[in-house]
Amino acid sequence: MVRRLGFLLFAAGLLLAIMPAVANAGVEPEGACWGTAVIKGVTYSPENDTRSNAIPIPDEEGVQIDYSGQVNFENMDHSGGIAVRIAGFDIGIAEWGDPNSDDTRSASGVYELDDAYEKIDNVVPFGRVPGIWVVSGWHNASGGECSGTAMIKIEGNPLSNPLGWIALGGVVLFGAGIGWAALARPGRP
Amino acid sequence: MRGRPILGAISGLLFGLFLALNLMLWGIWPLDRVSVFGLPVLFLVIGLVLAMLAPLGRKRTGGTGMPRSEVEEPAE
Repeated sequence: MVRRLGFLLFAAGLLLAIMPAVANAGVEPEGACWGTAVIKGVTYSPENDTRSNAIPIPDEEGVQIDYSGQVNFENMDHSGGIAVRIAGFDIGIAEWGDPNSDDTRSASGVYELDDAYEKIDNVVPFGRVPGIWVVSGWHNASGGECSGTAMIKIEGNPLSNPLGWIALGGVVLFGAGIGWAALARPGRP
Repeated sequence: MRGRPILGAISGLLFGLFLALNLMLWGIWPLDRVSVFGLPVLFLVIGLVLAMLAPLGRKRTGGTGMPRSEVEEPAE
């Protein structure tokens, strides 16, 4: 129960922090979900949802994220999830749900980034992949729902990961393929 | 058809996919619909057009449409 509550708190804090407050404009009231996350002294909020102001996730050990979040509706019997959005398709990475019979509507605490990296390194074939990612999240409860997307930028050198070399090799190889295809064949008019 | 259009189309498609992956890895553009579907289609067309035009490696002609080596030099 403590672990589940901890995960809920993290989710409600970090994820609601990165959700746009009005993800479903016209459906949800403004500010239905809100929160902030402090990473290395910088506070991030739902405004960090574009490429130019993506939330940087340091590629370092020992990083702590101070989070706080809240929902402005009855929050009993809730469920939610997080997904990485690739080409418009959501690939779920975590889900949660709890009766929350005492109707807790806010959360705050400290999350160890090393915990997330440990899970990623154990599950993802190439480990943590640097780059810019679109993350989506949703939260449903008895009194309402909210959802949204944010951009996170996992810092690090792409060439420190095998996928970086594969991507670079692919561009060189198939770039050469285009060049080869554009070579005139002898004897062809 | 002067070049290799099938090679150009396939290479362009895969070049676009790997380019999208690179843009994501280097933090320039996420893997969204524009990069995952748009870039491969764009480079497929570019590869196909380049293969059809085959602008690379053509022998220079003497203005007759024939390779320079086949153009007879005028007698002095």
